[in-house]
Amino acid sequence: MNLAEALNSIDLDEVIDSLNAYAISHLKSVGEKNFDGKEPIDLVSDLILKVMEGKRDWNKAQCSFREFLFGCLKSEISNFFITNKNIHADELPEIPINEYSINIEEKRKQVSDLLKQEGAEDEELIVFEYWMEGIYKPSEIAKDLGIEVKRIYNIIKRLERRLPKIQMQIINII
Amino acid sequence: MKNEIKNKIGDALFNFYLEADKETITDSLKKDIQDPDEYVKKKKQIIFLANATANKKHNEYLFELANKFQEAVLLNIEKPIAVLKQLILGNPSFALYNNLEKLSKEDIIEIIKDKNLVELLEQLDKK
Repeated sequence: MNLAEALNSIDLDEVIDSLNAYAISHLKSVGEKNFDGKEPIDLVSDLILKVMEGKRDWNKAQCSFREFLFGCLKSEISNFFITNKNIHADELPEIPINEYSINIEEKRKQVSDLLKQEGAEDEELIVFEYWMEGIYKPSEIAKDLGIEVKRIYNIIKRLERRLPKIQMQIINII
Repeated sequence: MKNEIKNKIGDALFNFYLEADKETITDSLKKDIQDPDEYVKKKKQIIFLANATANKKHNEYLFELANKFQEAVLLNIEKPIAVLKQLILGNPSFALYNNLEKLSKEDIIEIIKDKNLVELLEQLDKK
């Protein structure tokens, strides 16, 4: 599929919304509102033009065009934070306990407990556990639980809103 | 949380936005878009530019390929000519065309326009 065909294979208007929502989500996770003055939609715009101009090589991609665009955006965002690492903290705060003395299971439990303290319901904690098990696709989680994927979307939205509150708690512990 | 947990959360949210349906995304954006009219305007500009750039790129490839084929015919370079003959055989409008030298650039463009141009270019560059 060439680039023009790939472009026709997606609803670009809808994909721009999804890419923009992802960029906004990432910014929120690091407590920023824009990319050094550049709005998320402008970053998405730059990325799509880069792809169209062939600066990001679609022809070698082994995935759908939508997945390709998302992968490119993730990479652009990552590059931005690497370049600006002195200005931004592209990471959630450290857990304030000697990191070497606790294993990943204990850390998982800590984060899960913090989520619970912040009011996370059982279904949010279950989805969080799926993530920790490396199962990320909402459709897979929904299938495994035997529930509508829409419900998983809503659970993830609640979970996503709760995550920054956990970060604040961890900072307060420090 | 500079560790696996942070990466796992990042991967999960990536997959969520990749997969989430239109309604969920629209709902999510409602709270974050300050000026909906300006946002719609920007989206229209992106779509227009994306299509224009894709078409421009497509035309560039078409002309580059057509030139390469014409040059191959003129210089009687065997392998690109073989590729062109294969393409002609697959095109009913040109299937009976025997004299390659009489093919105009427009004819060649007509023959190759629906093919994977990047693959064709790579194929020619290899040969």
